[in-house]
Amino acid sequence: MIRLLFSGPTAVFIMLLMLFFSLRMISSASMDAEQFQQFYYLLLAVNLVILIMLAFFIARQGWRLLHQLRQHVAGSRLTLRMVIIFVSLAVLPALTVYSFSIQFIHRSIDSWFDVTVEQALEDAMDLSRSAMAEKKKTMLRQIRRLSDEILVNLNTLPISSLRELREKSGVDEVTLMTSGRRVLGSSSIDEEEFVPDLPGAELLLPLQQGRDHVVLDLSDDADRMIRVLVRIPIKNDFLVLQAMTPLSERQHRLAASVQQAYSEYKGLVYLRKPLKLSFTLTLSLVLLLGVLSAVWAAFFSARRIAAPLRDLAEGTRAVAEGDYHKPIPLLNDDDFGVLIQSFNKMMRRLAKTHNALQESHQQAKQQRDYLEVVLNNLSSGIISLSPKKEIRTSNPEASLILGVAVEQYHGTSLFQLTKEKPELEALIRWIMSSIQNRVQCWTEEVTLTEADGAKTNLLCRGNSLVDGGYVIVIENVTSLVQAQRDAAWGEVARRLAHEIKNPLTPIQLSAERLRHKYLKTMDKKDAETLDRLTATIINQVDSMKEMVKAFSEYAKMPDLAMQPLEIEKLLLEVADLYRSNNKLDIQYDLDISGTLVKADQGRLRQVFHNLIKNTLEAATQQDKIILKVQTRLLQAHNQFFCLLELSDNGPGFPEDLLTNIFDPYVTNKPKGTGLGLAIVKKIIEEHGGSIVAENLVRESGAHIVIKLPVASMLNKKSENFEETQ
Amino acid sequence: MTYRANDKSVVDNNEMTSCLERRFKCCPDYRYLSIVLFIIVGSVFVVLLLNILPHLIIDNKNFQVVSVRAYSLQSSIAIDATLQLDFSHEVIDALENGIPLTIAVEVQVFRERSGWFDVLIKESRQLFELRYHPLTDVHEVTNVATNERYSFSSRQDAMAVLGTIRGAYLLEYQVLNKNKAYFIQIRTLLDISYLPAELRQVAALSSSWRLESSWYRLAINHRTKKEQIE
Repeated sequence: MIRLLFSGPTAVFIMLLMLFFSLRMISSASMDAEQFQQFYYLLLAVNLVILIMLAFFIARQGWRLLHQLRQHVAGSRLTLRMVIIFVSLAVLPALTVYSFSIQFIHRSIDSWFDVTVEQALEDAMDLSRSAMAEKKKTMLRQIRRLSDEILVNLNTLPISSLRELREKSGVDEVTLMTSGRRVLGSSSIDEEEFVPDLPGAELLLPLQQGRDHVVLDLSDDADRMIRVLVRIPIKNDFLVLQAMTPLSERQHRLAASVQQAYSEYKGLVYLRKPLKLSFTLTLSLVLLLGVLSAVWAAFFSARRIAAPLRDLAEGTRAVAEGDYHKPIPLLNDDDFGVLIQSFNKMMRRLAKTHNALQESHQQAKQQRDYLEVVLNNLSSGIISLSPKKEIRTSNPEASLILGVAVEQYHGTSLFQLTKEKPELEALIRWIMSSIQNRVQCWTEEVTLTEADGAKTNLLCRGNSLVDGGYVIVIENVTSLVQAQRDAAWGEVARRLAHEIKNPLTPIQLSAERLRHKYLKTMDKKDAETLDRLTATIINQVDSMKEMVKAFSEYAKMPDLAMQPLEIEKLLLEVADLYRSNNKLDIQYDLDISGTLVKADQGRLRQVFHNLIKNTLEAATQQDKIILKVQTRLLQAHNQFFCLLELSDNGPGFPEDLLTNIFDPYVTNKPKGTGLGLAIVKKIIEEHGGSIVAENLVRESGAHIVIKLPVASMLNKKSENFEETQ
Repeated sequence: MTYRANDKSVVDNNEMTSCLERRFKCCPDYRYLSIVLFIIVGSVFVVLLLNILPHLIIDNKNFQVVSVRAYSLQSSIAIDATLQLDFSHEVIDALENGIPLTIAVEVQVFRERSGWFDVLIKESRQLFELRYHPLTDVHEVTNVATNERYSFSSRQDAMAVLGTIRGAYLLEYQVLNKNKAYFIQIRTLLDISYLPAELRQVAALSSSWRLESSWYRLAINHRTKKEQIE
């Protein structure tokens, strides 16, 4: 309740009421003499204070409006416009009424007075004055003459002679007294009941100053007497001679009437100016009150009207900034209320739509993430191209397969990849030509030749997208092709072994039987021939058996017995077996002691044997064969590998065989089966590794690199390795 | 409280009410305080203005209490006082235009109290009306209380008589306590509340009309009857 009472508009309304009543009281207090002295200044002070406070309120409102205008607050311009309109509407008529009222009051008051009347009154007064003055003058002259007589005979004059003097002068009463108003003698027309009428002390004042004095009192309760007081000087003092004569009633009445009318009229004329001033003052105060209240009311109303607009603007701004959760408070049920309700409704709908949109966006994002995870985990490389044939997206596998960080080339042409890896040019040219030919769907197997000569078999599939883009799926089918080839070779070997091995024993037995049966029966020469021929058959069959056995082994490799083993240790073990060979000098550069590889010990041992044996067999021309064995650790795609490098100082691989050196039956050795390196490669690949054979560049010699995945490490080598990386 | 757009019960009446409450609750204490502050400041202003306003207007040079003498007269204390009463031109002009003037002589007797307000024992206010009669050229002084009238041939005489107070009865001796200190204060002024209503407002705001002497203060003591007090 108190809060309501003192809230802005109420307080101002109370102030205005107080101001109104205090103004009324001022006007009433100025009428009532008793209240005037008590309340006038209090009311004046209250008025002034209220007016000052009202002005302060208005100034505050004005300042706020100015501030809002500077800040470009919504609705402030409308408020300003409305304030100007309201103030003009209220103040202009008020000022007009004020000026007309002032003029009207001034004219009305002036119209009370008439120049003719005023002149007539002045004339009447002059006439009365001159008549009275004449009368007074005559009386004064007479009494002065009497006083002269008294002065001459002052010492001898009997009191009784005052009557003669009175009768001679024709006055009603004569009194001779001292300056202290002690009666020396008197005479009256009415002798019997005569008591001298002594003048008041104030009437003797002029006499004390040496002036004679005539007094005429025209008031209603006066005695209608003309009193003449004449000074008779004696030595250091003076005597007073008072003579009194009545004014006729008619004369008295007329004179009193003239005096009263004149006084009243003069008073009115005099009061005209202060009356105008009073009216003007009151009217000005009322005008000030009216103007200030109008201005304040203008501010208040304008603010009230503009408030919903401001709210709406704020709401709109909030919506523009994406905030749909600020409903505009509904203050009134008017047109603005309806507008605000509609706005709130709109905002709710917008919020709903926005949320739905966000949800679908979220779903799309989830799907995209899901797709991305799937793509990232695909073993196929996927690259999508925009309609402009620029790389749009790619998955990590694509980078892995192509050996280029494709994700760094998003938004660029596929040809940009060749900057990093020129070997891709043929592949990309082929892909682009397929796209250019507007083939909707194509599949092709492509062989990619790496810089080191290694060949990768890629299966490329292309599909055009609805938007004109393309999606290219690249699969590394090298292993598959190799596996197919290996399987084919295995089958060949198995069949060969089976088909050839079976007739070999009867051939050998038949040859031995031929020899055994017919050698004894033949002469020496024939016997020698037979012996040589059968021996050849038997030897060749043996060697064929050996070959068939080798094929059989290649085809039927037993299952792997994998177990963690220290690869370096195994390598040293195998190398130690060749230490007795004086021709061979093995030099070590080992760096991965303690590194475990999951492998079949027997098979790996075979690999190392085959490789060292190969070196020995190949370098027959050298006096001293130097075999360098180097081991190191390699990290690629978050996986540790151990690299085993063997290089010799032999003649190296024949250049024409280099590309197919690991295929079966590829050999340059007269007695070789061509299966040694093929078996090596097969074993290494069975262990998830890879093997590369190349010739040394600066000097002659073969260089073989074996890469095997690390299972675990017994020491902290990997950490050290990472740190050094 | 905010609402979520995907909630079906968005901005129900309760929420709207709470919005309104929040709107009104934003700074209620500030408003309340500011209004109370305004009232306090306003009251202080009123009091200050009440003290300052009359002093800004009052002219205390034309009316002066020249001298005051208190003495014993039988069982009472009487005072003689000499007042200087000079009217401003505006006042003389009004008088000569038939406006009667009322001159007040105020006398107050206080008992002194150290460290606290003095006690008012007696207060007396004598009013004299001065009127000019243009026909007879007489200045008439009327004692308002007794309706005694005195006529003077000149204004100076009337003022001289008005300004001379002789043997005015003040109070009985027995009212005074031997052990206490007393003082009287006297002043004279032109009482504008007796002016015609049309003139009052103008007179109240004009120093030419606010003729008022300062208080003349005089200590009195309880002495023997015959002894002159001062």
